Order: sequence, then C-alpha cells, then structure tokens
Amino acid sequence: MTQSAPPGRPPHPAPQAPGILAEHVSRAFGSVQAVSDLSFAAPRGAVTALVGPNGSGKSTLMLMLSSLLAPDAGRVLIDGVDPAQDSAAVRASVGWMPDQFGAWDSLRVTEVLEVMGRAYYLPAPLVRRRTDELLDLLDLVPLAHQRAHVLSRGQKQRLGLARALIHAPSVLILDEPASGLDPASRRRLLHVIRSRAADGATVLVSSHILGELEEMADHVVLMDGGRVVDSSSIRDLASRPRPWRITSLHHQALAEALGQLGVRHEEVLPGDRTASGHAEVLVPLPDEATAARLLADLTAAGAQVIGFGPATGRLEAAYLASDAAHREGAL
Amino acid sequence: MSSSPIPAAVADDQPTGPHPRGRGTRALRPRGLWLVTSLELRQRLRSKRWYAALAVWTLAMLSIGGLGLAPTLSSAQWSDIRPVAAMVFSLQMILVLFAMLLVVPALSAGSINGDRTAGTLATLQVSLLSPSEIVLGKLLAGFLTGLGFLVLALPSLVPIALLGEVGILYMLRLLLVIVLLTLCVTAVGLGLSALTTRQLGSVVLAYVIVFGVTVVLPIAWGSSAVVLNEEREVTRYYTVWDDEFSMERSRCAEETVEETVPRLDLSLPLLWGNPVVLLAEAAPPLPQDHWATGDDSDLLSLLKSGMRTAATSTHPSHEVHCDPADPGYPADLGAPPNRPVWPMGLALWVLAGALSLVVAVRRLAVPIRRLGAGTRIA
Repeated sequence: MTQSAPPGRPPHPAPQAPGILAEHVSRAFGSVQAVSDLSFAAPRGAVTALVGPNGSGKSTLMLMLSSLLAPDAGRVLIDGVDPAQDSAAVRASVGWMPDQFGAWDSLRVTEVLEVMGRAYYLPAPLVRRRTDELLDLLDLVPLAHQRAHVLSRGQKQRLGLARALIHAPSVLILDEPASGLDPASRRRLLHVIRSRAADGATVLVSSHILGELEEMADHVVLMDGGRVVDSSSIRDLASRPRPWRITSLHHQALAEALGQLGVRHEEVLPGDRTASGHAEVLVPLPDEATAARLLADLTAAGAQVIGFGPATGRLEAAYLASDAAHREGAL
Repeated sequence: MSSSPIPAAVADDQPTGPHPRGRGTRALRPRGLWLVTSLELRQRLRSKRWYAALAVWTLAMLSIGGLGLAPTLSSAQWSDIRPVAAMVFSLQMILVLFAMLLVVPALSAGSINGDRTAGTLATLQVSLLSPSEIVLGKLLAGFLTGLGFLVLALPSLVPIALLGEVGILYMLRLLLVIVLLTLCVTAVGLGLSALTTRQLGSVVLAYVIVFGVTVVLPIAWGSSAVVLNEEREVTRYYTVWDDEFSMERSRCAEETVEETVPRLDLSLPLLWGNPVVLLAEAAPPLPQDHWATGDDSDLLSLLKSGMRTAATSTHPSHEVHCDPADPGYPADLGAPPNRPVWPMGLALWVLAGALSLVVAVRRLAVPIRRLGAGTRIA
C-alpha cells in the first residue's frame, strides 16, 4: 500500500537518493557570476562541508538550496523535490541557518522559537515541547527569558541553530554556524550536528574553521569562483599528500637519518629556531601508510624521534593544495 | 549514536493543517496571518516610545478640544457653544486624518525592507508562511496601530461631537473615510517598502506621495485656473435701487456679460485622491441658501461646498448677488451639478492599495527570481 506524504512534506524519496542534489546550477547577480555550472550531491545521514574562500558562492548556493533564491540555470533537488516546483514542501524539509541570524530584538529567546514553530504550523503543544528541548540542547535555558537584543553573537548563533531545528527538518543547511561560538559551544555544535546526521538528516555546513569541519564532516565540497573544484570524503583525504612534522631530540641525528633514507624534506631546523625547542622538519608525504613506514625507518636509523604527525589537517591540506588558497580573501 | 532529543523528520511531528503546493504565494490562513500581525504588534507594544507617542497624541487632542471651546465657555455664552463645537469637531477630524497620514507611512513603508535589513524577513520567508500572509499580516498590524491613534482621539472627539450636536451618521461616515484611507496608505507604504532597498528611501517616498496628494496637487489644481479658462457669456443677477441715495425700493436685475471663466472642473481629477477632500466629501452639504441665511456649518462642509462650487463655476446660480427678498429674484435657476468626488477618490486609493499589495506579495515570493540591485536576502 502506498502511503501519502504528510501535508507540506514531499513524498518519501528513494532512501539511497541524496538529500541535496545540485545539477549544473548557475546564478548571477548583475555582472557577478556567483555560482557557475555547479553540481554536487550531499548524502543523507552524513555531514557535508562546504569550503571555499570569501565570495566563492557558498552562501548563494545555500540560499538556492533553502528555496529562497531561484537558480538562473540548472536545478536543485531537496529530498527529491525541486523548490521551483514545490517551494512549500522544500521549506517544510529544510532547516536553514544564515551566517548572521536576524532575531526580533524585542522578543525573548523562548518567544523567538515559539514564533518560528508556529510559522511552520506545528501544533501548539509540540511547539512548547520542542522549544523546551532546544533550549536545553543548545544551553539556552539561562537565556530563555532574555530579550534577543542582549544576546552576544555566539548566543545568537545558538538561537539561530535552535530556530533552524524547531521543525525537525530532514535537511539542515548551516552557513558559518561556528562563527562567534566559544570553545564549549563549538563542542556542543559538533555534537548537535553529528547527532542530527546520525538520525538520518542531510547536513550541509560551511565554515572557515577547517580543523573543526574535519571533525564534524563526512564529506567535503571545495568551491572556488562559483564552481566545485574538488570533492571527497574526509576519509579519502587521508590518502592525499600533505606535510608531516617530525620532531627529534637531536638535530644532527634527524638530518643524517633523513639523508640515509633519501627522503625529500624541507630544512631541518635546530632547536633554537623552533617553538618546541627541539629539532623539527617538514616532510611532504603522499599518504598515511607512507608516513607509518617512514616513522619506523627513522626510528631504526636512530633519528631520536619524539614527535611525528601531520602538520595540517586533511581538510586544510586539501584546501591549501587548491588554487583558492592562494587568492586574496582565502581562509 | 542518536542522542539528540529532536529526531529528524519523524512522521507524527510534521506540520499540521493544509499547506499549499507549488510556490504557495497566495495561501492565506488565519493562523499565519495572525502570527505575523501579532509579531509586529508585540514588537511595537514593547517599545516605550510608542506609549509616549500615544500619550502625547491623546493629550494634544484633549488640549485642542479644550482650547477651541475655552473662549466660548469662559464667556458663559452656552447658546453659542453648538456652532463652535461643530467647528472644533471638524478641525479635530482633519487633525486625526493628518495624524494618520504622518504615522502610517512611517510604520508601513519601512516594514518589509526594514525586516530585510535586520535579517528577519528571510527567517519568515523560509518558513511555511506564505508571502500573502506576511504582507497582509504586516498590513493588519500597521492598520491596527493607525487605528490606535483614532481610538485615542475619541475621548476628545465624542464630547465635542455631542456639544456640537454632530449627527451620528456623519461621525461614522468621517470615521469610515479615515479608516479606509489608513488601510490604503498602509498598503501603499508596504508596496514601497517591498520595492525599495533602503528603509529611509521608502519612508521618504511614502511621505512624498502623501504630501503630493495632500498639498501639491491642490496647489496645482488652483493654479490650473490660470491656463484652464474660457471666454463665455455669463448671466449675473445683482441688486439695483430706484433711489441709490436712500437705497430703498431695490429689485433684482439681470445682466449678461462676456467674461473669462475658470474651468476648474477640468482639472478636478487632481483632487480626487486628496485625503482632506475625501474627508470633506463625507460632510453634509450646505443648504442652498446658506450664504444668504448664514446658517451654522462646520469646516468640512465649507470645504466640500467650496470645492464643488469652484468645480462648477459656470453655473448661473453662483452669479446671484441679489437679496432673496428683492423683486425679480430668479425663481428657479436649478441647482449646480453636485457630482460627488469620493467614489473616484476612494476607487483611486483602493486601486493603489491593492496594486501595492500585489507588488509586495510578488516581491516576497520565494524562490526569488529577480533581485533588485544591492538587495540582500539575508
């Protein structure tokens, strides 16, 4: 028996279909081509990171995915529904958090969430329940009766995330959600986003804080000039080249061991020129398996290694390897 | 791991009620409409400035009423109070109208682009509220705020209306005109707010329109007499005396002359949209022998009569300068055409308001296809 979709929701798409699909999407503002022939997919039950320098088209893409902006060409599908065909259904599925959340300044935190719950036509008891749950989830309980205008940027960001979650969307689109958050709030954000993905939601998140994105995301889409220039799973990034930092107790021992092994490396810095006070060197390695072999070889060659690890995160290395990293306005 | 208390897309937690398919631009549900209205009103009610403005307004109206009646009351000539109160009442109604024209554009013309600047418009647009619900909710909020000024004027208006023996139907007609104009001006303000990027720009534009129809167009109408005139025969009736020294035994004489007659009736459409003219149109007409008998009248009746007389300046009844007691007084010259202006005026405002609402709804529809230069969505 075929079950009809609830009102305001799209019919259930095939489980294997991506939650977000963009096909040859373009959008210009006057003479500025913000997004150009862009295609990508964000799978369900996973967090996809959108990375790119300022002006690369991330926010424009997110506006199109949120059903706020129509593409000039191409199409987007949210849970299999095109916003151009059924905008209301897409809006019912999507939770969108802009990079700067505008709250009604004179309203209290609780009231902001209640207004948004009612704007999604949720039943009143459900609005109250969700409001309480989200206040608790995002540590907003102490601020529940504060007016929005007294909130700090980070607190407003948390309120913005709560607002985006009020209708339990199956697709979350978060534009710079970590901006202005303190470390504890960032951990909480990470937890919330990961748990949403674990519950089956499609999460698309943009951020300039690549270290946290790497921890948060399963996939990455790299944008530059309105196009996708690279995409990969975070796991696959491990098999990409990146610099590794080797720290040794003895400058001479490290330099000789590297020479014996014939490893291409940058200058071996003596301890008086490093922050750690030990000899350090950066070695570009193609993947993590090679790194493991090199560590074993260096130890065997008596390099007196006390530190061995990637100098950058996988995501940062992938970003730095792209042309976008060398441009004005890059991260 | 599934530690979030808010599960994603659980079937029994879905939005309830009928939801539009497609873009859902025209969907209009009372719940959504009232949500936007209450959101707007709640924000205004939490501003202390509003209470201050309303208090000042109430006191100003009471003071004007008191000051208008004070000279008569202090002279203890209670028999004279009725015409004075009727005049003060009409003056106060014009003040209420002006207050509406001052307050409403400031509220509505910054409503949409102001929310866009604050980033709250996109928050509503991305929800399940339709553009119609957002626009009409804002319209209702602006309208109700405007009506607040009207309601607070009543403690001053009602006693003076009672003293002036103003008819209840007349008062209701005046209130209805103000209510309709408030609604239409609010709608026009919303349309401008949706069209322009900057809040200041749309508010200034709204005031320019209000100032234009209230002040500039009447001046243009009066000035049109310079160019809109024609040479034609005019029959005048004036008093002549058999004995000019004693001024006794007068009679009404007729004289036909060729003279330049202004044709202000041709430029009358310039006054159609004038709010004061529309308000005056709700006043009862002056009796035909008003000028001869000097019956009491109020400011609005005088305005109405003056405007209609100016628009029918060629009618011979306007050229009778005799005393009705004079022999030969013209028996029946008929009445000048007394065409009302208010149907055209109200139609004009309703049309402008409706078009503005359509524009605002279209501008708020998502996904947005065309974005004005310099306009940010969020």
